[in-house]
Amino acid sequence: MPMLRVKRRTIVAFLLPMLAMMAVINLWPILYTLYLSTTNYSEFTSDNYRFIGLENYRQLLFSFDSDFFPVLWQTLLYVVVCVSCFLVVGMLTALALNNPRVKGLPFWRVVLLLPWAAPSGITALIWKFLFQYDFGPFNQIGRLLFGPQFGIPWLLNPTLAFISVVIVNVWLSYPFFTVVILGALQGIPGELREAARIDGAGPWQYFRHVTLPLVTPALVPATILSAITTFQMFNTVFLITQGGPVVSALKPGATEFVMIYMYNRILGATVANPHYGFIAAFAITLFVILAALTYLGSGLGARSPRASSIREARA
Amino acid sequence: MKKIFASRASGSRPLLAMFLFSLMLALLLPACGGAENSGSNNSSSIDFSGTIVIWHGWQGTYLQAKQAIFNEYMRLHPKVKIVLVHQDNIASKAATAVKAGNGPDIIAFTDDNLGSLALGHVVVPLDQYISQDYLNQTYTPAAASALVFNGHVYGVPEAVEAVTLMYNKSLISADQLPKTTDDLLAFEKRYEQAHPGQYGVVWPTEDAYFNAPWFYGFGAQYVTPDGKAHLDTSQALQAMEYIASFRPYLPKQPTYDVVSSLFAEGKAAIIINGPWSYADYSSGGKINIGFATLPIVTATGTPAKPFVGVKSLWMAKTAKNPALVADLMKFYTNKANQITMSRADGEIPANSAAADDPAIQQLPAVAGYAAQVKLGVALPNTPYMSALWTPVQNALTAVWNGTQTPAKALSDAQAAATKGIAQISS
Repeated sequence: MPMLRVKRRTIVAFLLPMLAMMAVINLWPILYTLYLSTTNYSEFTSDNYRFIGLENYRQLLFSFDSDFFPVLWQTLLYVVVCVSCFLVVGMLTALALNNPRVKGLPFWRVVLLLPWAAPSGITALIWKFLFQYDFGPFNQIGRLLFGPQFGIPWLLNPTLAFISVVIVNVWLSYPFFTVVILGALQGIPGELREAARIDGAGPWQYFRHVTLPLVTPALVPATILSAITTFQMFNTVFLITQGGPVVSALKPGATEFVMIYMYNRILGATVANPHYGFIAAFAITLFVILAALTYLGSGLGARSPRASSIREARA
Repeated sequence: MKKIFASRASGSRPLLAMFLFSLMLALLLPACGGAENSGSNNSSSIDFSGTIVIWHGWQGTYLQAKQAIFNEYMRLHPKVKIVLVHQDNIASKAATAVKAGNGPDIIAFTDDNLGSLALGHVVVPLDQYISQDYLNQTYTPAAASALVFNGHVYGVPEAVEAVTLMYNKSLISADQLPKTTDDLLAFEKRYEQAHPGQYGVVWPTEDAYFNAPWFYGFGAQYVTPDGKAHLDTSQALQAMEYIASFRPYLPKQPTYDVVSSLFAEGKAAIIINGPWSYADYSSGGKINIGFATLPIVTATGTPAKPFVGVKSLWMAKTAKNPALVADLMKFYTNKANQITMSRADGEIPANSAAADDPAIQQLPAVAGYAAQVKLGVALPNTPYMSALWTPVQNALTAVWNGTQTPAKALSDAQAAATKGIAQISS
């Protein structure tokens, strides 16, 4: 078969429109953000801003009153707690549904997916009402049972508010994990269960050494993706707490995760002088952190491919 | 009447329609022209053509009342098209849009945003077309002063507003109304004992705007025009302690929606709220509302002083035809149109001739708010004010939730506000 010979120049000419598009849409904004992060560009200095080097980064990372690390810490905590809950709840529901005695699997699958498919903005507002201290259903029911003094400060106490937004996010997101895990579970051949039983493995041992290793490859990408979306969580939490409860005007609120913090303190409606340079530095720093975490996460996934899990299962 | 005639005629007989239309113009012009220049006079220097885009936050009856005035202007000047665009977060959106050259011609918003918009060159001065003398002669003093920033005129005021005591006449009578701040607290306790599960007086206790009456009544202030926060004063502390003394009696999460529903459902006798809420409570004869001015602060002997917000129209930097914009502004806020607007939507007119008009004075709601406006302080239009809202609100929230003492909350808020102010002036 004769090779089609094309001049390099022709190839470049054909690629050029696409490359130009990418440069304009992807590359230019990234470079511009990078540039902005080294200036003092703000609402009021937009006409005469100047280059200030790494000053924005210094303020963000090294100034003593910077909220960056507390906010980052509580965001990471939120990610870890949420994602572990996704995994546990998703695994439990998937194992329950995978039981051959469960009838009407398609029906349950739809029911489980409903919270995930519902618009998160609306469910968030419903949850906000459920958690309301004075008139919310949770506390109203509590008052019927335990008397008029009863009241759980769901959104008023920092720890409880954190737990509240975890509950909501888990409720919204676990169905996705259920479906992913269920799919992986149903791909496990029946012979393995039989072989394990013959070898004398109990239910726990079967789960630990057969099910889990075989499900892991499907879980890794889902876990990484939802860790990133949880890290960047804005609408659900913001609609419920606005980042509060506030414990002091000088400290970030207990549910003020990075995106909410960014909005509240440097971009939001009540901010005096939006400091675009500082926001750009914030965005770049976040990008670096997310990129590093993703790299680490995918690295962990690559070390346990399917083959090795089966080997482990046989061992 | 004239309108029906003209529109019916225009279908079949164009000449007659044109004749009637010019007749109508001739009839209308002397009414709005005259000695004082109140907009849309037949000045030859103005090019009456093109589109004017207005960004606003008006809704419901407000929007209807205002739309009618703009329709009238479009009828007077058929070549002018006025487009009203509703926006949330007007200030920040306008800032972005104007920088990109896609901004509106007029921005309608409350005066506290003027300083930052002017410093950001989002709105521009109109001195050439509207003088300070014109402002002072045409509008009530607080309203006129709100449109001047750094010695320049940026537009016109359309309405003023302030929060006041609104009470449910079927729950309490006028002689039961608390006259002083101590009375108010005592009333709250008494009312709740007598009516379990209900509230005497409610307001959003975590909101910087709604609590300004107490701070300013106790002699404190949020910020001075030169950009100094004043939250760490003993007066501010007294105000904060007074607010905190209501904690045992009010809801734990007294957001605006919560307290407003309580009043609307008859579960609260008094609410501290502003003109925007009146129609919701009174429409359909739901609640018979009475008005009273906010109580006198017992410690200082001065009345509680709410912020007087001045709803304003400013010219954006992207305005294409400044002369036309200025003419529309004057027309929109002339005496006749202000009276029409106020009667339709219950706003308190900024035009002083309209505010003094008997037709306006006899509207109970307008009179009620107008009495309170006289006792208030102008909502500062300095850009530094925008660095105060969040810290004050956070301090109020921390105190209301019981996580901080009033003194600690205020000193933290002072530090946060100082930091915010530094960001503005740097």
